[in-house]
Amino acid sequence: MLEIRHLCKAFPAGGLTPKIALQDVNLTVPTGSFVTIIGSNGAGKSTLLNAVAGVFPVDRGCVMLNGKDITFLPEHRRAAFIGRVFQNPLQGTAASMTVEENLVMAWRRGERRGLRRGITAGLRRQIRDRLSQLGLGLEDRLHTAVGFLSGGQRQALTLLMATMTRPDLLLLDEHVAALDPNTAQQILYLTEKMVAEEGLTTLMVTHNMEHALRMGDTTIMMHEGEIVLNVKGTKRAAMTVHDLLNQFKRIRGEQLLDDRMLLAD
Amino acid sequence: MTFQIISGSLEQGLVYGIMALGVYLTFRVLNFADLTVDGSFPLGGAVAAALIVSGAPPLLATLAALLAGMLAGAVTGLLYTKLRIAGLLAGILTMTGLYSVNLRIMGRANIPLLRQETLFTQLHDTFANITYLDLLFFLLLALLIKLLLDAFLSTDFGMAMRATGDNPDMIRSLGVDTQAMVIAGLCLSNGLVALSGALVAQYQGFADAGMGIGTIVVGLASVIIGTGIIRPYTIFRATLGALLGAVIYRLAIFFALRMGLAPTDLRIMTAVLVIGALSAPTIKTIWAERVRMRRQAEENAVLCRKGVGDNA
Repeated sequence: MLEIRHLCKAFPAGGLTPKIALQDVNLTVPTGSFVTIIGSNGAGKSTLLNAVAGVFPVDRGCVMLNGKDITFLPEHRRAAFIGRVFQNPLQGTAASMTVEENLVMAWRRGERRGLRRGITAGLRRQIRDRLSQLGLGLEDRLHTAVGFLSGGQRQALTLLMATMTRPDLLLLDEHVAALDPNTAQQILYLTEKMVAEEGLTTLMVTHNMEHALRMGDTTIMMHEGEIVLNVKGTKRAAMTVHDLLNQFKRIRGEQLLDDRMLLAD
Repeated sequence: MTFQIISGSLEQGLVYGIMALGVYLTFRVLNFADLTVDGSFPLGGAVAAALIVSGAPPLLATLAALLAGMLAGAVTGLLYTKLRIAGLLAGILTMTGLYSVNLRIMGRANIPLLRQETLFTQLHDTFANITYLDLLFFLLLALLIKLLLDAFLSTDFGMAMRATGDNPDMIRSLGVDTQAMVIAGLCLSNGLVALSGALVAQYQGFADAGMGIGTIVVGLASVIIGTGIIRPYTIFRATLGALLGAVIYRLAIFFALRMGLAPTDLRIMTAVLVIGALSAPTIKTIWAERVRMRRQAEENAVLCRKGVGDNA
């Protein structure tokens, strides 16, 4: 279970007032739950994921994973139990290293890296098995440098690397946004398959409202660093993209109204 | 010309090749241009010479030099990772500081080792009847270090180090402390550089405070020449290239000197060589684009003029 309590984060901006990216965010994600996150640009979606991953220290509040407080744990230590897929397909793999080497490094997620030989025959077999499950034929390209693969292939590889050790939490940050529609569909299909097979607790940021409603079991909407909507169950099942858009407009409108009232005061 | 004449250049190439392997580790694997090398190379020479003169066994003195080099690398690594000083500057700062340190260690600017017991006097005492003994020794040692480096880079630790140079975000998201990897890489690299310095000092019979000037450029030249000769598809090929590059660099200098180049002009030749090798890809693209545009212009003279005429 992931518990986020009173999380606040502000980034220094050009002016005197810092840009508030997260404002008292509270979120509980039960084990095995799959949460989709939507919101306009600058709403704080990626900041939330980065805060959970430990990319930067947060100003207030705490992050707990399976009852353990990880608020002050450095990024590489949290990575032992958090898998991530980035928006940029180039960011999740080492281009100059082979498919096999990339996967072996992911296999050792969170382990102490010692001076034993990295790739063994047994490991190679297991990796080949896992790769064949992707259905992309990558199991025959174990010795190809990842830089020679397409963006979609690299993203599929990153997804496998993020999930193969069954992490306690999977973070997907608009991981299909940079792909063409066909490839994006394929990666989303793989995502659902892997998350379901391993029962992974997942947070997925997306700009696609249809994906947000169709995938996972919970949808949250963020606006100006706050969670403004959190739907699940039958209410969510009955929701359409149109409803979601209306909700979004209503929330934004209310806020505008608030601002106007403040100014009139 | 007999083999004997160039065997000296081969020996130098191989001993400097150990330094080039160190430069390969930072420059190519970690993607870090580490100027510490100009300080850690004479540091190795200084530590080894000072210890030998004070009566330490040559092997121990050489190993101490290696450790001293690792320490120097750690300093640059800490400046870069923990204090967030830019990589180039961190190397320059350590290198500058090391100049004083080296003079302190030696107590003067130059230590002659002529009547001292060194690794080489011991070697010649033990294997008196082998011809080209130094060459054989350097060849075996350089190859041993190359193979050890290859093996290291294919361990879990070594792969994490390569990934740190390739894509730090990625390997951090897999649970590796990338700062520790950079520090470890700089340690190992400068350890090899100092080892090379210690061997050079014993081989040439003296350690000198100024023996490090330009070392990094020689190292870079070796790595770059190596890449040109052997395409670095694998680690094995890349490290072999660095070694071969260092040997070819020495041979090139040997022939340049024989053709009448003043020894004082060597550094500018080396600098020009490195500039040429580093800029070759850029110049190639610029040139290809020029050729293409000229062809396009010729084509346009027919292709576009016709359209304009029709409208008018």
